[in-house]
Amino acid sequence: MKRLAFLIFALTAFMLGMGTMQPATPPPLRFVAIEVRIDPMGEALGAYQVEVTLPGGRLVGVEGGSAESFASPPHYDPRALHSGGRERVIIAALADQAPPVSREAVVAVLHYAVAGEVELEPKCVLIAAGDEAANRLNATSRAVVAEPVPLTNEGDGP
Amino acid sequence: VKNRVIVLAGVLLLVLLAGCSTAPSQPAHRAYEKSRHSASTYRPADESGQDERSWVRDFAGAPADELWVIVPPERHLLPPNDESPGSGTMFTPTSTGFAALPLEMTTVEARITSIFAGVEVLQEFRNPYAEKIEAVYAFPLPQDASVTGFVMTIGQRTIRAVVREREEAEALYYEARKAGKNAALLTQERPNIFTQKVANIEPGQNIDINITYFHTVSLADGWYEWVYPMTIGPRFRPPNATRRTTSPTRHPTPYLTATDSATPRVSINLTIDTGVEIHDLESPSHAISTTEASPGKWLVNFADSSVAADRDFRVRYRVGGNGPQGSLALADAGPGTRGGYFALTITPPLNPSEMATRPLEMTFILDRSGSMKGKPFDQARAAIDYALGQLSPADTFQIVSFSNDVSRFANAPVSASREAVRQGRAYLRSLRADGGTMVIQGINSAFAQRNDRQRTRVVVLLSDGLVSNEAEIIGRVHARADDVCVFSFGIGDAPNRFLMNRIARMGDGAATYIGASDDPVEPMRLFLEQVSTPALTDVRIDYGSLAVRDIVPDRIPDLWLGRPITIVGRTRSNPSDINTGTITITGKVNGITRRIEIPVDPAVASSTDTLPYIWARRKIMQLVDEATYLSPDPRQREIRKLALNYGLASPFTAFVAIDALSQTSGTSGTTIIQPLPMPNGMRYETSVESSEDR
Repeated sequence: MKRLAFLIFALTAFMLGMGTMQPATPPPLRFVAIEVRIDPMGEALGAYQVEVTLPGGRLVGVEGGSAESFASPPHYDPRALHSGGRERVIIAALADQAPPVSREAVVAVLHYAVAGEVELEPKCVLIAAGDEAANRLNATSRAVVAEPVPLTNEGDGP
Repeated sequence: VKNRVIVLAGVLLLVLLAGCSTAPSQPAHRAYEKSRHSASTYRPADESGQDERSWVRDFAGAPADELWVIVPPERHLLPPNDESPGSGTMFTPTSTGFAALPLEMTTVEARITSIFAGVEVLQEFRNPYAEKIEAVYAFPLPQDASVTGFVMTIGQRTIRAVVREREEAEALYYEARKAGKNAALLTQERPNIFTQKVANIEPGQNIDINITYFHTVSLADGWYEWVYPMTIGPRFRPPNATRRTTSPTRHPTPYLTATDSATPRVSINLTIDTGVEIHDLESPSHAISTTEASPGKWLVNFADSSVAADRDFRVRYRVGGNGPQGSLALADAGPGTRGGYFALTITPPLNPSEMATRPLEMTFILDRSGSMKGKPFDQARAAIDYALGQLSPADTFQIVSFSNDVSRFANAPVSASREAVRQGRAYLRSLRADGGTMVIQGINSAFAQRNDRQRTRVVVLLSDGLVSNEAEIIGRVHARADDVCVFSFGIGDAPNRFLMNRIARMGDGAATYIGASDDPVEPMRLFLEQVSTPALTDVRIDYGSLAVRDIVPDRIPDLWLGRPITIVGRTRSNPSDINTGTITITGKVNGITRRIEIPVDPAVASSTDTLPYIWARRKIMQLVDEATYLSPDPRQREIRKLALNYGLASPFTAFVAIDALSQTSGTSGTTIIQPLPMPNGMRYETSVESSEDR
C-alpha cells in the first residue's frame, strides 16, 4: 500500500509540475519588408528571376520596386512557396515600358510576417537576368531590410 | 484506513488535475503559430461541437448558416469580439436608409476568347467617415471562377496578395489589423460567394482591390452566354439546420432597401474575340452598346456608363455556321515542367427529327417561397403552364410545390389528358408565394413517387435556389434512383447558379435560367425538346495518341441535345511534343452507336494559358462535390495542395496582402459591412423582413 501511495504522490507531483508549465505563448508577430535589388552592371535590365529566403518569415505581400520599369508587382511561384515548408520565394518580372534600369535598383519589395525578435537575414539568389532582347546579363542581386515608411497613409479627410 | 485515505486523496487530486489540464479553447488569433504546424486540424475557438466531417456538409468551408441569416439593418450593431475589435461592427443607417458606404465603384474588364473568359474586377473603396474603418464586402463570382489574382493598391503602391492556407491567412490578417497595418483578405465563403476585408482604411483614404479570375463561357441551345453576377439574394435557412461552419465570417448580410441611395455601381468593358462571325449579340438583363472592332471581335458596354449592382449581367451571342461537333484546346504546363493541359468540348450529334421519342413522366417541383414572390413566381408558373400544354396523353405529369410545407397536385403522376392539364393549370393558379424554402422536402416528395418504367422519368426544379443547405440538397440529388434525371430552372435576376448547376450535374440533367425579363416559354420549349429526344448515352472517349490523365469530370455524363460538355485534363507530353492523331467519341442514341472524331493537331488546336487554372478549379470543384457524399479527408488535403500549388482561392485557401512598410495611426478601426442591393424582382419585405419571423 505504501508503494501505491508513493506512486500516486509521485504521479501527483509530476502532474503538478506539468500544471505549472504554462503553454508556450506564441511570440508576437511583426511585419517587415525586404527590398530586392539588382545591379545589371551598366546593361539595360529587361527581365529577372530571383529566389529570396528570410528565415522565420512568412510572405504576406509582393510589391513592385522603386525602379519605374519594375513598379508593377512581380509574380511569385506558388508551388515553390508552399513546397517542402521552406518558404522559397521565387519572383520574376519583365520590364514595363519605362526607362530601363542599368544600375543597382530596387526591383521588388517583399512583405513578411516574422514571429519574434529574430535577426533578419534575408538571402537572395539571382536565378536569371536578361536584357530587353532576352540576352543573359551578368548581373548581381541582394536583399536588404527596407526602412519603414515614416508617414501614415492619411487620406484627404472624409 | 490511513493508507486508504491517502490513496483516495491522491486519486481525487489526479482527477482534479486531469480536469484542469484540459486545454482551453485556442483563440483565433493564435492560429498563425498553430497552423504552421498542424493547419489541417485547427478549428477556431467558438466552433465547438463540429466534427471533422462537418466541412463536407457545409461545402468544404462554406458557412451553411451564419452568413445569410438576414436581419433588418437596425439590428446590426454587433458587440466587439476578436474579429471586430475597437468599437465593434457598425452600420450607418440614416432616416432615409444607408448613407455613404465604403465601396464606391466596381469596374470590370473582361475578355472572352473561344470558350474562355479572363476577368479583372477593380473594386474602389474609400473611407467616407471621420474615423478609421475596416470594410467587409461579400460579393458573388461565377461558381467556376478560378481566382488567381488579388492585388491591393494604396495610393501609388500596389501589393500582390499571397495565397496561404485559410486559417493562416486569416490569422495574419487579424494580426496586421490589430497592428494598424493596411491589409486585405479574400476568402471563399461558398463556391460562388467570396468575402473581402480591407483593414485600417483611414478617413478619406482610397484603397483599390483588383481581383483576377478565369472561367468558361456556357454554351446551351446554340447560345454562348457570359454572366457577371452582381449581387447575392438573401438565403433561407431551414429551421432544422444546425450551426456548423469553418468560416470566420459571422457577419449577417445587410440589404439595401429601395429608399437607400447608396446602391453600388458597376461598369463593364467586355471584349468578345471569337475569331469567327458573331450573330445576335444581346443582353437579356441590361441595355448595352456594342461595337464591332474587327470581324469576330466585339466590344460590349452598358448603354449607361454604369448600372446598379442589383442583378446578374448576362451577354449572349451565336457564332457563324453550325459549329464543330468537337474542339480541342491545349496549354503548356509552364517552363521546366513536363506535360500540359487540354480542354475537349463535345457537342451531341443529335438530330431531333430522326429520333423516336419516348413518353415522359414529368414532375415539376415549384418553389413558392417568399423570395419568389412577384415576377419570379409568375415566370415559373408560366413556364410550367406552357409545358403542360405540350405534353401528350401518353405522358404523365405531377406538380409538387413547396415553401414551409409541401403540396402535390395529385397523389401520383397522372396522364396528361386535356382535363388533367386543365386541372393542373388550375392548381398552379391557386398557389401563392410565401414562407420558407424547404427545397429538400419538395425533392423528397418528387423522388418518393413510384417508378414508371414505361416512361422517361424527369424531375424539374424551378427555384431561385436561395437557401443555405446546398450540400444537403446536392447530396440528396446524388442519392436519387438511377432512372431519374433532374433538371433545374434558375428563376429570377440573381439566382443561386452554383446550386442550380450542381443539382443538374448531379442529376445528369441540365440547368436553364429564366431572368425576370425573359420569355419563360422559349427556355421551356427547348427543355422539352431536350428531354423528348434521347440523349447520347454510354459515352466513351478514346484519346488515341494523346496520353491524358486527371480528367475532369472523371465520369462522362449523358449528353443532351443542345448541351455540349467540356472535359478538361492534363496531358503527359508538352503540347509541342504531341503527335497528330484523332480523339474518337462513341455513344448510343436509341441503341444506335454514334461516333464523333476530333482531330488532334497541336498546330491547329487553340492555345490558352488560362487552362491550367481552369483545370485546377474544376478538379477542386469535383473533389468538393465528391466530399458531399464520400469520406472527406483525402479530398480536403488534395484540395489544399491543388489550391496552394496553383495559387487559387478555395474553401481552404485564401489571399492575404499586408503592407509591412507603412503604419496607420492607432491599432484598429470600426468594421463596416457593405450592404448589398436586393436582387431585382425580389421584395425586401417578403425576402428579408419575413425571414426574421421564420
